[in-house]
Amino acid sequence: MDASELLLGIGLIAVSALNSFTVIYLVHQRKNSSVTREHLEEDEEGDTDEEEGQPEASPGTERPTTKTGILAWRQSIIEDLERERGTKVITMIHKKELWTEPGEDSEIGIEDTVKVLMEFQKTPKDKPIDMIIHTPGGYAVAAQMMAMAIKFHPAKVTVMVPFYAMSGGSLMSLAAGEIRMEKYSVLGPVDPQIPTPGGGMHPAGALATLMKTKPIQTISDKMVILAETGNLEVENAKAFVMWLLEGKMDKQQAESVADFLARGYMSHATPITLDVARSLGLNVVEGVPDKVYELFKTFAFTGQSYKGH
Amino acid sequence: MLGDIDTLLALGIVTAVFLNAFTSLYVVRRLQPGQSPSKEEEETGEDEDEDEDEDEDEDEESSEPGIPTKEQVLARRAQLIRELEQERGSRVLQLIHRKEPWSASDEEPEIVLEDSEVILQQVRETPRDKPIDFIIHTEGGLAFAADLIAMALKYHPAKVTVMIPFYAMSDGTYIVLAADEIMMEKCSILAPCEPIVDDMQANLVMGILKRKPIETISDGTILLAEAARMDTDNARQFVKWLLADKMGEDQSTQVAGFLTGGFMASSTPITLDVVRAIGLNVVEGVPEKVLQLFETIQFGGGKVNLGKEYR
Repeated sequence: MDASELLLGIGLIAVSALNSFTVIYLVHQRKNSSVTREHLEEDEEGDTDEEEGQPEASPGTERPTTKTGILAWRQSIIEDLERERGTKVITMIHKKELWTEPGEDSEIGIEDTVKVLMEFQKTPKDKPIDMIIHTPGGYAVAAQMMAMAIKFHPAKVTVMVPFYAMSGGSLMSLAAGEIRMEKYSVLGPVDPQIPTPGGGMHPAGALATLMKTKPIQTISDKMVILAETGNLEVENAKAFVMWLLEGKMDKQQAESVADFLARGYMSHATPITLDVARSLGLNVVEGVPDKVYELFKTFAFTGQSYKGH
Repeated sequence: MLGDIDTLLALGIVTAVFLNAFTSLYVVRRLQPGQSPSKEEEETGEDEDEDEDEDEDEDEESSEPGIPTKEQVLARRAQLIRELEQERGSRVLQLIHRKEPWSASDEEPEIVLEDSEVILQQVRETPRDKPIDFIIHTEGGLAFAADLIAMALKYHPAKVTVMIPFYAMSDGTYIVLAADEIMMEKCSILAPCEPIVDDMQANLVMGILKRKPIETISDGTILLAEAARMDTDNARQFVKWLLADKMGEDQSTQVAGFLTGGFMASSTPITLDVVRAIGLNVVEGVPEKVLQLFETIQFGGGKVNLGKEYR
């Protein structure tokens, strides 16, 4: 009697377990089969973590030609990277896209800032962040706000520079706890460029030189005022860089680094390479994860949009 | 007896099997494509989790996938504002400047007189004892229009809270100074409210009169410097008046001088710490609902190209 009851009991449990496993299996089956479609429907913002979602359009086979397809491809790579490193990955990549209007340059704008800041706000305080930056620079205040977000994040923030992060992008890199770059990738100086009323830009350093080398009576009113603006901007940039470097090096060194980068001693396009960045006292690690380069394959590399596809 | 127990157990097995079968069927149905089951991360095999996720999804977006329509976005915003009003027992007003995907013009929105007309009317319609929460997100614009809004907020008898989830620059700063309480994030910024004449900071234009012999300055610049002087006086007096009930006269004079005196570049960020240091009533962090409101706005599309640039 006992034995048969026991047997039946075991049987009951076994059947239940079998059924549960079937359910789990079915759920998985469903998820896997619909995952590709999901990828296509996902938009860029969707910060979801999908399980084993390998979209059919992987590099090497065929690249997706629709916006949604490309964004889904990109998203899956970002998720892989997040899993691999146990971090939240935030990107600010300024490159031509399939859907970019002709003649539209992408650079740092205040819209980028709001987007990035929202991502930072949504990230748990103890979660490390990997920020992938690829930009020629842009609007200074926008870059400053993002640099503040990087500096204020309590967990470690790693900035990855696979190719270049000039100007405003460099400013953001200075805020990071760690910079990962390659031997060939570059940062740049952060000296302010002063827009002239007629369009165009003058480096603040050049304006200062003008004031020093020419009698003031002979300099045009506009240039005198612009030079003053330049002085204030340099002070702002210097103070900001010093604040970013606070805690990373002593004050004296921070001041000389800030001066070096913001005073305009060199052309705004001067490459600050890995070695230079390291010798400035920044925490630079050589090497960017392969996944980051995979991410860049989702962009058009030709320099022109491939709208015709 | 023995038979009874066996039958019971057999019945139990049958019931369990059916129950499980139904569950699996149910789960499969719920996971039908088009409902985007993997929007949220799921733990495998946890049926209950999926249900919750489904519900959330349905809340957030309509049944059709892809980009929500203008009507859906506006409805969602209106709902969030209503919820925020209920949560805080206040009237929520907003001055949010950004390009919407459906906006036809290429121009970046800024503070214009229409804004002040709308907001003045809204403030007027708010009962005198009802607190106002003012969400601001702007790069500035017409100083005169901003002044009107600042005055309306300052004259509102009940408490006025200004919320700055990201930034309120240049003339937007006047509106912030009018508030009884400021809520901002650690990364939110204000900017100096020094007047800008002809794209140049007013004090720097005035400064040329001292630096360059007058006979070498063009007539146009001298006229501009005069306009700059008047604008700056105006701005300083206005800031002082806005701060009059918040701090002593000495301090408000100093703060007004600091913000309008041209001591710093117009792009200098005025952060939470600075706002606190100059003696204003600041609270760190804006309500969750405000951030949710901004999630209905798709960012990262356009670019804004005002002010000083690095490149």
